[in-house]
Amino acid sequence: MSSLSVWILTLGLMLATAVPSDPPRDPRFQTKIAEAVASVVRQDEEAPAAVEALRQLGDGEREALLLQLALYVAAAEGTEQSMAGALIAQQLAFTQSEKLDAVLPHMMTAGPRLRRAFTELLATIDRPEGGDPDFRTYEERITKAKEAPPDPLILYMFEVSPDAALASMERVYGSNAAEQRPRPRSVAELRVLLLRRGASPAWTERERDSARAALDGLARDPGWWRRLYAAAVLREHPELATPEITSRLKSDPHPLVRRAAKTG
Amino acid sequence: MLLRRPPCYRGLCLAAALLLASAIATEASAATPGEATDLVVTGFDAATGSLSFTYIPACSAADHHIEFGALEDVASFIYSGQVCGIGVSGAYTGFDPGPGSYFFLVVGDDGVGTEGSYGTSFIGGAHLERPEDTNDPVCARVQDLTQRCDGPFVPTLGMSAFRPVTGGASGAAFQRREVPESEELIPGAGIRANGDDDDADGRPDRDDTQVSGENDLIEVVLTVDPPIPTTGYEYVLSRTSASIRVWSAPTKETDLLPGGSDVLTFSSSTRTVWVECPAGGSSDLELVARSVSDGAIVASERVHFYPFTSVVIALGGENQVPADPPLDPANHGTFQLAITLHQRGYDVHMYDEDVVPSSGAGAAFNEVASAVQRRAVTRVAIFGYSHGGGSTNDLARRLDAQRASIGAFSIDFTAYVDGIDNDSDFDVDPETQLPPTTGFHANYYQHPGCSFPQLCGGPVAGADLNVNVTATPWGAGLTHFTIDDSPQLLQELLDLVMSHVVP
Repeated sequence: MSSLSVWILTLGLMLATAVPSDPPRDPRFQTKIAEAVASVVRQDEEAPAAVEALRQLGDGEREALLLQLALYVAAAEGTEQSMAGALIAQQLAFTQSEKLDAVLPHMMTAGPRLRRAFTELLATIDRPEGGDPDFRTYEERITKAKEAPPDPLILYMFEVSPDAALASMERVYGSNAAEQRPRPRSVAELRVLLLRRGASPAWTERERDSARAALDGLARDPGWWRRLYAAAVLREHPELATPEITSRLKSDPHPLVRRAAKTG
Repeated sequence: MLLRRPPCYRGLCLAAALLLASAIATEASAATPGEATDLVVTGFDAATGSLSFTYIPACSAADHHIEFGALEDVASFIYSGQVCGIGVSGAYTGFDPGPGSYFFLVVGDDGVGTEGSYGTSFIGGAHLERPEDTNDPVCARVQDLTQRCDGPFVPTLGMSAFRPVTGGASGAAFQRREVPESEELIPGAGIRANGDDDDADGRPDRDDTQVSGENDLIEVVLTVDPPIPTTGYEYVLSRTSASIRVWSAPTKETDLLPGGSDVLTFSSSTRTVWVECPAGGSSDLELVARSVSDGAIVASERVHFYPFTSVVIALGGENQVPADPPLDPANHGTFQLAITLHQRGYDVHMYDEDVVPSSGAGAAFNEVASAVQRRAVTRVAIFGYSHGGGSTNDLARRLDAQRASIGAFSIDFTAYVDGIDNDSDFDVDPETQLPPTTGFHANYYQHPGCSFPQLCGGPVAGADLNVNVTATPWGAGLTHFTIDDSPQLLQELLDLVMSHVVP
């Protein structure tokens, strides 16, 4: 059994048994964060000092500080706490690397609200000016661990934008000799169909058949990231699912595909 | 005792006067009785002093009773006694008021507590209802002539239309809110053209007869009193054009007016129907009470329906959950404004701003696209607070970019209230971009210097209205967290929406 297959098996077991569970809230950080937020909401003169105290507390453990801030924002109530938390995060000027290191270890097990905070933090990396995401910034990190890519990051990418994620995966994995194949025509066909449906959710019979044929082809593709793309598209367009495609993806040999198919 | 077979005039018999009246049959609040007629004394037993008489019972009477008084009081209708429960046979034997001369009359009643007409007499130069007996020494009855079966039938009709409740993917649900009486005809009740597909069955809802999840029909409560019209009359519901249809349920079910007009029955005083506008166009819905024989209308009620030609999208600030009533009434100004516009007859859809990602896609975009493509909507208004302001721009940009596939529409109005760019929940940059192609952009922001810890919107180049509230007498003390609740600001925004957006 190769190390890759052992890894896949381990991850598969982890994914199958994972129950959402947020990391614990650290009172040291939470108290200081709450003080800083309250100061910002009051717009008082002590806010800079409160943020500075927070910065010093996180000295040497910036990822922990950011994680605790994400936990605070995830539990925030109202615009006041949310926006003050965001303002404090901006003042603390976390780097991309700090954000990824804080988020990725907990991404798979986070509850829905924390996961939302995580995805919004990552959005500050891949969509700093909004619009469509640009995942190129993650490709170096994925390429470095090509055989054991950071699954939370890949799932996040496919969740945010299947098209942009697929493009990234093609750049990273598409040149692999073992898995190199011409990009399936079905991807282009599917994109055209999905784009056309962008402003109208109604499918014609012909469009639906074409889209399903394209998805069926992708679900059989040897490249796992293309099968993952099919699962991600189905999550966004469940009306395109067929029992055959769904069954195939849910029993896919790759755990990420299975997970995406099961949570779709 | 002076009792003999008396001559009668209009139910009043001289010497021994007989006044005939009718009573009320009140089963299920049906029409109340009118006057019993043709009173004739048929016999007098000189030995006992009792007399017999016949009469034609009053319509709708469940019983009758005798009212009598001393003959000298006949002109003033002073009653001194009663005989209760003489039935409805139209004949009675054994009436003996006692020694002396009397007048008497027969009054119909419901057998319980309500009596009908005592008939009329020439009183003070006019034919008027004879006064009722208010003393009721034996059988207590209260007169009710409001719906008498033999009188002019003047029922009370009511028709209440409600604003669309919306809900589901179309935004947070509004409270069930009645269109004010003063607005039922002008401007009327707004209604969505029902070309969308709420049950996702691949067919426009207007082509279905049953639609689960339908949220485009307008509730109308019909009220009639009495529920059962007097014999010879009927209640009729009709529409003035085929632009509306009337269904039995919010999910459609039975078409109540397939021919445009039909007689309606009521099992109680109210009945709820649901109005659909299949494809646009105005129409009135009218409820009338009319004579069966000649169609003469004796009462009517009407509501005008106008199709919405616009949608208004309201986007709250971060972590503000839209609801009606607002979950935090003093702190959710955006939704207060949305609710006010809903009250004023706009098709409003209020969302958590997170439904609009920075790409502009999502539920709010789908709602607008669906409105344009399937509900004949041609105008769009969007406003939002804080991140909702950023999402306003994101949504407007996507709508503009997708015009070719959406169809023809204009963005008539946009507004930011201290707008913050919404590229993510952690974005704190001011939203300063002008929404593309907006017909009128209002930008309210506070700007007390805006270094940390202040969070500020900012001026928008090209906006039709830029208001730095910090520089106004009414907004100098506002912060990012309070600006959206300023009564002055909310009133100005309301006025702006109403002056730039046609419902």
